[in-house]
Amino acid sequence: MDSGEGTPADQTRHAPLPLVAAAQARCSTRCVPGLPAPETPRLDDASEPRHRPWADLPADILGVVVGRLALVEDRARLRSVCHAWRAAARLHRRLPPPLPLLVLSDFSFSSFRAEGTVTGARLRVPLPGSETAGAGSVVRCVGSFEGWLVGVEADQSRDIGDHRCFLMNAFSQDVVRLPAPSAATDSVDTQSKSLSLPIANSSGVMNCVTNTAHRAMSFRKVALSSSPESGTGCVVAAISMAKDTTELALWRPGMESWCVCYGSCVGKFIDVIFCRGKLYMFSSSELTEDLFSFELSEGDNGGLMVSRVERRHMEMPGVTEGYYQNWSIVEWRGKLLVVATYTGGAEVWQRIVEVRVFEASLSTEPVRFTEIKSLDGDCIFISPCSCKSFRSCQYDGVGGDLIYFIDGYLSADKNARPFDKLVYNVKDGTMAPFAADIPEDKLQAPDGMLMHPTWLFLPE
Amino acid sequence: MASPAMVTLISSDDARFEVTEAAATMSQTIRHMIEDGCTDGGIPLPNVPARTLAKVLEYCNKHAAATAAESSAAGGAAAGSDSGSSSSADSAGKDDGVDLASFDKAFVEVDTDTLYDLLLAANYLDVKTLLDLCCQKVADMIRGKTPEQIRQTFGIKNDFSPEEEEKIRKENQWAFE
Repeated sequence: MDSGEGTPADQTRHAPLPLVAAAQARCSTRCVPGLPAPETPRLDDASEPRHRPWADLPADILGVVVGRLALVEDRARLRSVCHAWRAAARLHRRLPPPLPLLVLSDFSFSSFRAEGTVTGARLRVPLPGSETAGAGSVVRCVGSFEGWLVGVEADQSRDIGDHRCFLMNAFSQDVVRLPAPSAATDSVDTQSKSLSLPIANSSGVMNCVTNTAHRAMSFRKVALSSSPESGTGCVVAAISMAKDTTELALWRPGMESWCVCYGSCVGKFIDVIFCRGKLYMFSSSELTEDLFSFELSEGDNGGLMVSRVERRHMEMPGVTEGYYQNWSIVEWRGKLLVVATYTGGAEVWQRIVEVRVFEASLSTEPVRFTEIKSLDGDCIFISPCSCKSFRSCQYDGVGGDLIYFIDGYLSADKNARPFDKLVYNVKDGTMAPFAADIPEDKLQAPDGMLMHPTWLFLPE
Repeated sequence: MASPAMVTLISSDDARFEVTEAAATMSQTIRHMIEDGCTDGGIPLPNVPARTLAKVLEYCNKHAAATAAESSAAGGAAAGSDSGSSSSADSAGKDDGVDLASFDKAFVEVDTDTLYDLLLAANYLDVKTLLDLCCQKVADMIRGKTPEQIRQTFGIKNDFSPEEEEKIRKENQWAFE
C-alpha cells in the first residue's frame, strides 16, 4: 500500500476503479457516492503473489472438487499431484464414490468413460505374486466388496472344485487368505461339527457343518457383510455349485474352515445378500420360491454359528406366458429390491424384453413384492457376482434412476445364452445398449464357460 | 415500485459496494451478519479484495435478479392479474434459465488466479452455488489429465521424493491407461 496510513476515504481510493465501474455497469453494483475515484495503481497485483498457491487450497474445497470427479482414475491422479492434495483428498467430507469398475472373472476390467460408456477390458487388476495361479490352474474373480476382490483357484486337472480362496485389495494389494473351499478327503476329521437346525416357519432342516474333511465346493459368488479390515465383524458368504449340489458356505476371520449349509430345502437357483445386518438367501426350485433369513452368532473359539434359519414363501408377481424371469437382488436405502428381468421371444438367444423393480416386504408371510417406478435419482449396478445401489450423483453421462445390467445366471453352463448388457431407465421404462465395447469372448473362459463379471466399487 | 433494501459491503482493501439485500444474502455469511444486525456503516469482508468481491457480486446480482424474475412471474400467474405483463414476465423467466446457464459457463472462463480467488471467496462468503460452479470448473480442468499436466495447469510443484512417487505410481498404475 503506497499511501501508508490514511483516512477511510483515502483508502477507498485504492479500489480498482475499472473493475468497480465494470461491476456497476453490468450488475448495478455501485460504489457509495461521494467517494472520488482515484488513479492509484491496482493494489491487488502489488500485494498478492503472482501465482496462487493451489497446493494450499483448503481441504474442504478440494473435497468438493474430488466429489465432482466421477472416475477413479481422475481421483487417483489428483491424489498424485502433491503431498497437500494427497492428504486433503483423503480428509474430505463424505463424497459420492467414484463410478465402479467392471472386473471380469479373469481380473481384466472395464472402466467408465466420462460420457457414460465403458471401455473395452484391456487392463487387468494385478494379482500379488503370492496369489498367481499355479500350473494348470486358473484364478477367477467371484465377488467384490468396496476395494476388495474375491479370488478362487480351481485345479482344472482334478475337477474337485476350488482349492484356494482369498480376498485381495485392488489398490493396496493386501491379501486375506480364506480356508480352501475344497479339501482332501483323507485328512483327519476330529474337529468336525455338524448341526441340524430345524427351520422356523417350515418343515425341514438346514445342515450346518464345520471342519468337515470332505468338501468339494466351487464358488460362483462370494458376498461380504463388511470390509475385511473390520475384523471379526466381517462375514463372508459364498454360493457353491458343484456336481449338482448347491451349498451356502460361511466364514468369518479366525475360522479355520468354512461353515457349510445345505439341505433339501435349498433350491437350485439361489442368491445371497447382506441387508441390515442379516443374511438373506433367495432360493428357487421347480416347486417353490423361498426367502431364508439366517441369524448368525458367535460359535466356539470365536467361530461362527448359524443360530436360527427362517423360511418364508415368496409371492412373486406373475410372469407373462412364454416369458422367463431372472432376479437380481440389491440393497437400496436399507430395503431389499428384486430387479426382475424377463426374457422371451422366438429367437434362439432370448433377450430381455422387460424389466421390473420390486421392493420386498421382509416382515410379511408370505413375502410380498411392491413394484416401484423410481429410485429417487439413484443408480443400481447389477452383475451376477455383485449388485449395489449408488447414491444419486451429478456425474456427466451417468443419469439417475438407471440400472446398469450385466445380467446372467450364476449357474450358467456352456449352453447358456450370453450376458445381456444394457441400461434400464426405471422412470420411463426404456432400455439402451451398454458396454458394447466388451467383446463377447471376453466374457467367456477358454473352455467356453461364461465368466461372471463383478462390479468393483471403490471406497473414497 | 418500492426501491429494494440495500446493504453496503466493504472489501479487504476498503472499497465499498452497495448491493441489494437479495444479492448480498446469497452469501450465508452476509445473511447471518445482517440477521445479527451488524450492518451499520457497512459490512466488512476482511478476506475478500475488491477485485474478487466485484466478481462475486456480479454473480450474485445476476442470480438474485433471475430468482426475483422467476418468483414474480410465478406470483403474477397465480394472481391472474394483468395477463399481458404476467405472460411477458413468464417468458422472461424462461429465458433466464438458458441465459443463466450460459452466464455461469462464461463466468468461470477466467485465469487460474481469478478462479482461485473466487473459490476462496465463495467458500468464505458461503455462496454454495458459486462454490459448486467453481469446483466443477476445477474438476473439468483436472479430468483426463496426468498428474504432471495438472501440476502445470495450476502451477503446483511436485514435492514427492522419487521413492514416494514410485510408491504412488505402483499403487495406481493398474488403473491408468
